[in-house]
Amino acid sequence: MTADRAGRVLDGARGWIDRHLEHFDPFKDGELSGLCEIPLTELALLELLDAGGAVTPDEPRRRRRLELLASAQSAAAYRERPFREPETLVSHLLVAAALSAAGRADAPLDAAAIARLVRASTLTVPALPPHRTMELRHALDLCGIAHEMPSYAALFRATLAAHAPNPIFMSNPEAYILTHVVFYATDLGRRAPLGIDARERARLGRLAERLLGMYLAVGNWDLSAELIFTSRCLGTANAFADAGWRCIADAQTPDGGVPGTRWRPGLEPDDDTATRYHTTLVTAIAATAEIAGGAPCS
Amino acid sequence: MLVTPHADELERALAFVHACGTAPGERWGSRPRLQALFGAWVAERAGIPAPAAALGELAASTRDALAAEDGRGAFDTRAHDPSLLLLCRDAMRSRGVASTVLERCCGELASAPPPRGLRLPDGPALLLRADAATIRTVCNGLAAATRFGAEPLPEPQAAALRLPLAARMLQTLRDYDLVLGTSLLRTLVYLGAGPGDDDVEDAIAHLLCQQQPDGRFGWYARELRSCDPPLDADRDLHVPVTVAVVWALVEATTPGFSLAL
Repeated sequence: MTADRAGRVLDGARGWIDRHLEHFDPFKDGELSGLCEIPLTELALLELLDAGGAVTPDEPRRRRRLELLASAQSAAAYRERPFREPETLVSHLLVAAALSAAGRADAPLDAAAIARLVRASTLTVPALPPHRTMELRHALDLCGIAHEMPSYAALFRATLAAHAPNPIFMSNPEAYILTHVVFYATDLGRRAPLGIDARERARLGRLAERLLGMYLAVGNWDLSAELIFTSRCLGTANAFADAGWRCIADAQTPDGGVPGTRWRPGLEPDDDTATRYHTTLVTAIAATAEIAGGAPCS
Repeated sequence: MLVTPHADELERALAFVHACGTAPGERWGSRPRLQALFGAWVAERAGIPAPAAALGELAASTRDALAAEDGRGAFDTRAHDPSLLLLCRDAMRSRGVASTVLERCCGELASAPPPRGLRLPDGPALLLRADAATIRTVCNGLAAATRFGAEPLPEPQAAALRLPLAARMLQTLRDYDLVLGTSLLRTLVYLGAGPGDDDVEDAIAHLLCQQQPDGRFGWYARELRSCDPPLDADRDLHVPVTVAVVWALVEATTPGFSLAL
């Protein structure tokens, strides 16, 4: 029942993403600046989960997604950005990893140049929060870039997720830290968690379950989808997962979009898209994992 | 004698409640005095040391406020929680204080038709998404159905309720609705949760952080600044919230405590 419901949600979400692909284009506002690569990066995460799945690269919607990723990756202004602004490196690594996983070698990364950049830049000095350091390590590993970063266990121990947080006191950004730490440690649920032992895994699973109940109660579908996916990445049961898919299905609008926390009916088109794209995308990611089934990290 | 592990915090809360519940003046009315009396009585039953005369003073103060309101035709039994009235009557009797108004009201309650059977939303999704009024009704219904936990529900039913109600409690406390949050905490205890459960422990840790130096619970400068017409901070916020927290802390942390008579 859960997978059926997730499947219906996924179909709508993929259709919405396909009709709003231009929002994910980092060049949509002209020159690259600020966090403009983020939507494309998140699209790459969906692509990583699709790699090796049932949806073939030539399926029209997936093909269009891959074309967008490849188009960005092959643009000189895009490819050079990490060397000028290293803080954008993770985004570029994930896009490259997604293209590689789909068998696309349009514009492969220069691994040696990036390894040199990682060594020479401030990326790995102790300036990033621990979960961001973990994110960088995950992205470097995905692309096979050499580095001398701490182990996942050491990184995990420094994150909020390792410190048994009281969910009543957790802010929304802290809930995102928890989910993302699990995504990195499990490579998006594609491996057993690195650096998280069985006891910690059970504790995190219980915390994800409690947080999912809390976010369903307030109708935050973005974190609800992230937490459903978190439980799947951990391979732990979540008693609210089915209720979560039911609530998200009820909240999904007829065009397949899933409302974010700032979305309201009647927004201008740009705002409408901006307030739904992330929630729709993370819902698609969670649903893709749900349908793939199995415990990813047994 | 029962002993709660948070006796210091509860003692300070009771000092605040006692001061409010015995304050002179009509401004206070009967409701906060009934609440204060109830809080002090619950704490006494949990073994919280309090001045010997404290409960008696609260009982007398409440009796007088009830008589004054009733004399003006301003007391309405239906505006009060029936369980609170019955328990306050017992609290008064325990100090040899008789309130004719309260005795009469409780007599009327006894002759009222019994409440309808407990009806619960079907499934965790509905409990998670239910509005606050529904959750309040569910909590009251479960308190009655279990006689404040003295008659537990069958475990499969209790377990099915604990999970969604715990999530609602965590989120309600996060939303800073301390009255409903503590009601949910007590409900979890009636359903078999207790010290050592993550949900209970996290709720207690959160509640203990909400105590001000003078013993009252709740940090409400935001609400008090923005409320129009202005609230009476002690009467409208801190007394009901402090009593609600005291009650929940006692039920959640005092081994062997039962409100059922």
